[in-house]
Amino acid sequence: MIDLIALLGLLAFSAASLLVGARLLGLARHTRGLPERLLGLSLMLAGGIGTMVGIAPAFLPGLDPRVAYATYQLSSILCHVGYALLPYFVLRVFRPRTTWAMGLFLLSLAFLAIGAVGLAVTLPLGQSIHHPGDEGRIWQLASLMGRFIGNAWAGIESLGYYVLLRRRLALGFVDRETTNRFFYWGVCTIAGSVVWLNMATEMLIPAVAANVAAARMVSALLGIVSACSLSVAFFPGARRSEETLGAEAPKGTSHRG
Amino acid sequence: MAEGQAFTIVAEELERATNLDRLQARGTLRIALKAAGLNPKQLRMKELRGVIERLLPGELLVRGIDDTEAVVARLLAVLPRNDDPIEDESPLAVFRRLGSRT
Repeated sequence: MIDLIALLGLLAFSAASLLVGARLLGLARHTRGLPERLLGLSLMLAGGIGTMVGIAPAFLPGLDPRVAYATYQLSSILCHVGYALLPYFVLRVFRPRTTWAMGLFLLSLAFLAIGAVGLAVTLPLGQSIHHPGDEGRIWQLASLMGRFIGNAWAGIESLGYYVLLRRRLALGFVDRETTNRFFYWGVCTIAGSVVWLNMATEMLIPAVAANVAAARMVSALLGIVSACSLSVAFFPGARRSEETLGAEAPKGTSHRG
Repeated sequence: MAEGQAFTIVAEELERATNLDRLQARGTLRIALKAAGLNPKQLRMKELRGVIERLLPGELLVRGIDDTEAVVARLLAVLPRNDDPIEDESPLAVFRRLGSRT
């Protein structure tokens, strides 16, 4: 039962990533904007294709171990490229000229690169890349750290911007739909960061490892939360809000900060 | 208009229109902008206009300036009439685009 719920959470997030990623890449063809290309590719590669490819061997018991090995390696490459594009998107959109942000991006990239190469080199034939043995543990932890930095950073920036926009919304300077998009994407990325943290604690803390069912249930629920908030964030609503100045606030509104 | 230029123009006019010194005028304007969640370096004209009309009068009253209507009128008069487009790559512009249909 737990495995089924865990699978549902994973599939929900994967499907949402594929759909939203495809939509953003379609949008990028029209706008030629780099941010939509980065986020679209990140979702398609990591959450969508990479994840789907990575879980496929588990459903094909008779699969040749060499094919499974190649599948895991391909999945790992796709996922790690996708993971790396997320902090690059955050750097490009939220902190394009900030030195510390470039440092954080490079730190995340370093963890991801070390983790990806380490996992690729130490993965033995016949073993899942998602549950590495003792040799792969340290590389998996490095990879998880890189993913965590990217997701947590995205969430903090997005929710911080949401708080800022709430003030502008009260004065009618921004529309509600765009303001809420920051909130939903913040929730999505924070949920993702907790999933990576959950996986790391499962590897590091014996008490958590002893209760795998609870840890996987948490990850599954967060996957569903992430999928829902991602979809709500990036699929245009049926009706756009008024965007004109003063549309949502009467004249004379005073906000003392 | 260059980043921060609109802020400087309005702050200088506020200094001339009131008995506030340079530091006080800039500080007062900054407080009003902060209350609106705005950055003085990335201001759009309509946002600045809105802050001057809605938030600044309250800040001026707190500082003992009663003739707020006249001050606001002077500040609005120095603002350029043409509205500048939102910076294409600001987080707001990007996220607005990410939810658009085309």
